[in-house]
Amino acid sequence: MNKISCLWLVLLFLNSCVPVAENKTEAILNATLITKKQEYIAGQKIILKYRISGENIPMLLVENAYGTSLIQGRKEHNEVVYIFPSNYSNRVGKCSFKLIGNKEKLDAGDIYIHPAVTKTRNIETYMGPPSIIAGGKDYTMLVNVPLDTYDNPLADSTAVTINQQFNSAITTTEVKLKNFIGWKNIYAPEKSGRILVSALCNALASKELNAIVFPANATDFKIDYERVHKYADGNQVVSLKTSIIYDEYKNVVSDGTLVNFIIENKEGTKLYASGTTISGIATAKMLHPVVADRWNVTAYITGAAKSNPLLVNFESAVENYKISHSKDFRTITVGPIKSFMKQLVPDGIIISCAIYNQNNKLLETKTTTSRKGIGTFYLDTDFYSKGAYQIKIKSMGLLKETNIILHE
Amino acid sequence: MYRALLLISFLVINALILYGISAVLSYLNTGADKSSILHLQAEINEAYLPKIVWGDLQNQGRPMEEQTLKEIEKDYLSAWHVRNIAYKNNDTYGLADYYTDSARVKVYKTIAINKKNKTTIDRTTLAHKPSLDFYSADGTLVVFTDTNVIAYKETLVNNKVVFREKDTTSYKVMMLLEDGFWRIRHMVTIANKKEPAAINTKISTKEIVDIKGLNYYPKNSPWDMYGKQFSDSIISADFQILKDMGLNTVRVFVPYTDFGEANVIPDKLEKLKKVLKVAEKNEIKVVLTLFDFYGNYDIIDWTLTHRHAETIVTALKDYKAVLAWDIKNEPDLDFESRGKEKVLAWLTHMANAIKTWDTQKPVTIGWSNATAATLLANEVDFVSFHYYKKPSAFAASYTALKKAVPNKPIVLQEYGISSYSGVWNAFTGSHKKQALYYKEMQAVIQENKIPYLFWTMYNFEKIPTSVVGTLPWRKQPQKYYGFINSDGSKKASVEYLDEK
Repeated sequence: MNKISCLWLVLLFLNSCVPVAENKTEAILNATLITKKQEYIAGQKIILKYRISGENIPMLLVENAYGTSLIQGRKEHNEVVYIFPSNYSNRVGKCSFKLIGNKEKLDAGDIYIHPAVTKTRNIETYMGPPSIIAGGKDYTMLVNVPLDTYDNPLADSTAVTINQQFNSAITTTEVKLKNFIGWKNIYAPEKSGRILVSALCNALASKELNAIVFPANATDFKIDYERVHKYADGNQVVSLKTSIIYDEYKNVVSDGTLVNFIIENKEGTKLYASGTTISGIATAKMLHPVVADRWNVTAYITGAAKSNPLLVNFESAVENYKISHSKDFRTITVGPIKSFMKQLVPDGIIISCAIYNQNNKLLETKTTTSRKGIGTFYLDTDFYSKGAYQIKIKSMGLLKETNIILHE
Repeated sequence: MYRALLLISFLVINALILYGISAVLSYLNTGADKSSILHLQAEINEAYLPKIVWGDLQNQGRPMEEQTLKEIEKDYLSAWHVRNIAYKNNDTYGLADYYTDSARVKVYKTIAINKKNKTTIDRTTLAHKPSLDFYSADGTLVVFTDTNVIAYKETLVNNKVVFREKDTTSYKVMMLLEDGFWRIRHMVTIANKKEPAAINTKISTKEIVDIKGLNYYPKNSPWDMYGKQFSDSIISADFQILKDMGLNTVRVFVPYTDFGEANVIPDKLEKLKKVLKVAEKNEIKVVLTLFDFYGNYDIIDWTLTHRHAETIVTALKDYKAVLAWDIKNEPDLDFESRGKEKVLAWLTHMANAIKTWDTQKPVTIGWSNATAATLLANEVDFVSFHYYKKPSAFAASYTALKKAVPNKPIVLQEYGISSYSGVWNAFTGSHKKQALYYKEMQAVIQENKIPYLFWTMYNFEKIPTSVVGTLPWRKQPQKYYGFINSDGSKKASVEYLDEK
């Protein structure tokens, strides 16, 4: 074997070692779309036919708003057929396709799919807010999205009929779809109550929807009071009551509307009570004062309405009472305190006793409550040595003074 | 002798046993972070940040609130994000959060088809321009048109890419507010709107051909230019030296992670602005190399890298010192690990995106060698390549590149030689050899009028491991590429680098 043939052998061997290139060198595929139809109705079968030169069958990339897929073609005679999956042929909108061979785009196009109007299946309705206020300013919005049987929104300009019922009146309006939706603002009537709404599209009806119309803001109202007697006995209860409160359209305000009663007494102190309305009337209760007093009452619904001012007078229930002492002056008995019919005051009336020394300096204020009309104070020897003291007793708004001399 | 051997082998065996035990222990200690028990909510939006600009908000329903718009935007983008992931993995995870019952079924069906056909779609959207059509009175229903959504997608069969494309699609979308989530109820593809092309095709490269300069890092903080040691006075002094040598350009790197990735750290950006200011003061131009130390390129990461580049480019484009945007340093080195086509696709889109944010400044890519530099020549305004081979072969390399890309300026963006002389290169380097290298290189450069940026100004005392790894025969030479010693004295090579 000479050198040259040896070299040839080596070269031959090397050549056989070179990996065989993948069979991609096939002539560039030539694809012609035969199917000319571009517009379809959702649900119709979409089949694209291509005339393709070459042995390899390219794949078809289809895309709509929800996703992208590759479809394998099937050879029939000298055509290649691509059948769109239902997930593409059932969706409205533009569906684009691209024929892919050897990583190259051989052909591309768009198909337009329209909703299956005759198969309107459902009207999705969205209404809100669910409650509105009477008077014609507030409104709730009804949004309708009619859908075909493939859950596609219908085309713009499709008519939707909206019915609304309030009391005995039924009104019908028509709106056109735009951006998938047909919508209408439903304004509140002047009367409170309930509005029923429904929609119709392509002879298909929606479910029934409703909105509650609440009364508007309260208007000014009147107040009055009820009590068993006029005396400041600290025992009975006075009821403060509003008239029936209406809004400006004569609707009784909603139950539970909060009414605040602000009471100013003779001394300028403010007292406060509140009640919520039932059938337009709110009631609040206050205990009678223990001292003769004059109340100035005004009621408010915060931010909305107020009442007339109301004057309530209380007369003193007790005219006088006695103070007696034990022998050593150390036990002071107040009473019996008698009320306006000479009956004993109820248990629990507050009696205070202020003790002053000779220099008119307050040493102590003792407090007790009445029992069977009587209250007692004991001045202990440990605290009060012998000498002269002044005692001031106060109960039921009456102040009584007495001087005592304590012994050992 | 025998005893010594026994003793040493005993020690060695013990050391190995200890090492083995510690390796087992440290392996057992790895695992999930303990805080993962808490199921802290991960901020999903951080993973998907395509450009979104709302157009007209006027509508007949109800005035749109700023807060609600943000919530709708967040959930809409999340809907895209979970769907992109769903199609990438053919897994429906997460779709239920952002699609209503009836809508998600449609996505499920397509996923089922793709799963059967072993098709996966890797896709990201890059730009959204939604405008509001309708917002209902009770604030629970919204319809908007998302016009000309730019998307990039790869279609894979059996994990092999069969088609990749960038496309523009417009959608009409209806979303409903359901238990705190805005969910997509309807989505319909509609016709696109015609828009004028935004990209300026006539970017001036007049200044590019005059580039004379170097790749710059400060002496004491190489590869960590914007860290604690940042000092604009030091950088200014360095630029002064360069100016006195007759050089006019530096190439400066903007590390991706160091700058805060998608949410650029303002402090870092301020430091970079200071660099540009001192550059302007010293009449030095700057080639800014973005995405240093970035290497993912994954489609799911695209929106994040776009936000990073957008922040930096829009913040700096009006600085006079900025000469050009260099998208990435040596991306061809990632071809093997990340896939050539994926890297090229990322670069192409990034180049286009940068040109929309800055319509004036040229864009380039810093290829690691002259052969790779022919890639994407149509996408860049000038070609940049690096050359670290023998100077004798340089002229031929350059000529071949010039022939391949005849109509665009070509910049020699990195070249140089280390003057290191030590154990790891058998004492073969020297200052003299470095000087001779530059003598030879500069001669070719001058003859062909090649714009150049050599590597580098200083010898560096410390090289981060992330740059060349830990191997000492790589690390040591990397320290001696400068023309100025670490003590500040100039090496012999300065004779050939001084332009005055």
